Amino acid sequence: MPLREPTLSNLENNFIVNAVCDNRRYDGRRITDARDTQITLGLDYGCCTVSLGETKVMAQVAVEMERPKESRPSEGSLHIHVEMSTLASGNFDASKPGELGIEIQRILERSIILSRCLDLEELCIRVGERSWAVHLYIHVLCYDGNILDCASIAAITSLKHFRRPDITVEGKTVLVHSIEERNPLPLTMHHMPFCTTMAFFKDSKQLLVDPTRIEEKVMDGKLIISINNHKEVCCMQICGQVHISKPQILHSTDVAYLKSKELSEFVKNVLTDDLKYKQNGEKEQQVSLLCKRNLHVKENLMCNQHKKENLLVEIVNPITTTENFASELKKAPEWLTKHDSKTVSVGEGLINSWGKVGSSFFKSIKKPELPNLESNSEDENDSDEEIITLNQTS
Amino acid sequence: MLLNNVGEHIYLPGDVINSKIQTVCDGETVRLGPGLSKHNTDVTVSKAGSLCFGPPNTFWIDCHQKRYIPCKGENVIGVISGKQGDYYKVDIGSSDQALLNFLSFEGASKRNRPNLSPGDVVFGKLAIANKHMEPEMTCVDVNGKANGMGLVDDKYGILFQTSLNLARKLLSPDCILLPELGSRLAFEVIVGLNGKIALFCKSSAQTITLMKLINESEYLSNEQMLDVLKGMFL
Repeated sequence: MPLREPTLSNLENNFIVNAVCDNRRYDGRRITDARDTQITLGLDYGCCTVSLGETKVMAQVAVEMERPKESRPSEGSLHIHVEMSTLASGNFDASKPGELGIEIQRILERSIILSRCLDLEELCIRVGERSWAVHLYIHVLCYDGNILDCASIAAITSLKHFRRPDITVEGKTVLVHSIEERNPLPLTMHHMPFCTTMAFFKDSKQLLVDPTRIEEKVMDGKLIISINNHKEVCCMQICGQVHISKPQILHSTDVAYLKSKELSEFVKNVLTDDLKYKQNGEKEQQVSLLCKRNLHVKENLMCNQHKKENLLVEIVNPITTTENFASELKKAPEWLTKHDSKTVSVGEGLINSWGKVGSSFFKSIKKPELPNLESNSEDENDSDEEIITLNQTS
Repeated sequence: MLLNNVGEHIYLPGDVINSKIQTVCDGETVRLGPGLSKHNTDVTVSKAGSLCFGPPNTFWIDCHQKRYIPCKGENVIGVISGKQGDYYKVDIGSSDQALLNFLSFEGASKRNRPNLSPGDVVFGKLAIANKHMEPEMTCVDVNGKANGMGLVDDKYGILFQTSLNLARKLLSPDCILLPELGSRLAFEVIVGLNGKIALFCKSSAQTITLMKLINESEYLSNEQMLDVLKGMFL
């Protein structure tokens, strides 16, 4: 049973609408700013996590062999699956995709499959008999508005990042080589279409790029444009009650084009960096962050997940340990400062049944000091936020 | 010191903390707060967070939490979501919506009912809160006076959700953020213990700035807050 959506108050509604009239947004962005975009590539080919502010989407590409369709015997296929679990938001229903899920899936299909950005003919192995079917799984992990833009970045990045196994065709037999045997092959992509969502306010007179969850609730309607860096519009959709004029559509297309150009540059950089890392034999999971504003610069989150047992967790907390605090700690009984050797017990908080496990995990939690806070003008009151760095010890 | 955060150690659900409690209050009666529960003879942790101790004998677990669990007597901000019989349904961020009687307003009577519509913001006190029933709110004190409670109505305000920790921190007498800000800038603020904060400034730019400042002060010490404020108002 999904949770009820939080009620939107009149205060929020009026504030957002009034702020939009002054060309402001409640989170301090300008009207054409997107939120910080962060791409984390997974260790597997074709896996990536993209976050847009608080919104977070994971994409994974997989292939399987199938018999091609009768109507298109010389083509492979691409299938897009969108999963919106209750993990992302309490009011999503995991059992069915819902209106939003279907909308996202349809627009992604139109933007990626129908724009023919993926070369499907290359996926054919034997005409009419065997072809590759590419499956693109989109999982929404956290919802704070504008899932579509985030999902389209994730989809393109993971398709670009993916490598399929190499094959040899001998007569009627198809031999699939493992990754160790032969280098896997990338999918051929002709162009990279990225979706940009623009929300319209005040009888469609005001436009906001990349609306958050609250802005999505307040808006009159939205215009979604999928465009590639050759300035070719791949898909366009208007939802809600908006009356958009011709100049507005042209202006929106320009905005979407600029954003798409920036994003394709960014995705390319991320992928070439990843390739370099892989060639150098470093297994570091790579994280890249696209920041449009000086405001809100977060440190890169470096995560490494392939050796869980050797994780050094370093939590840099903005609370500087002042002398006062330190002396207070000294006065406290010994057990308070020492780390316990207990470990996690999953469940509702019953008694720990795991017994004693090594305490190295807790000992490695450090709390170093953070550099001084920087804060200058009224608009840049941003402070360094919590930085979590996960590194491999070995 | 009331909010005595004892040590940096993080406790996880399932940890047994009998020995820790005995080192501080041996042989005495102890009060267990949120995040601690008793199983047979053991005191077990049921939330991940740090252990806190309030003299003389109270222990609880402090953690980052956004889900509000209603507690009798707490001041909360809610959003009216509908009507049901003689009650308004109020969204206070808990799993169940709170009920607010038409008569629980100053000067309200059977004939003179308050006129609230969905989306209106109210500030009130929880009169009934237990785990088996829906919580009930009231907007009057024991003398039938509003005492600052009731409909929150202002043109330039915003309502935003923060973590419960931050709301408690802002309300604690140790926190200097709101008094210091107040000495430099004219604004009104209502902090609900359910993590909802209503903020009213003269302009939307000021409101946005203050909202960001409040949101980011969650992990700042008093000294750091002063530094930030000095930087802002120079």
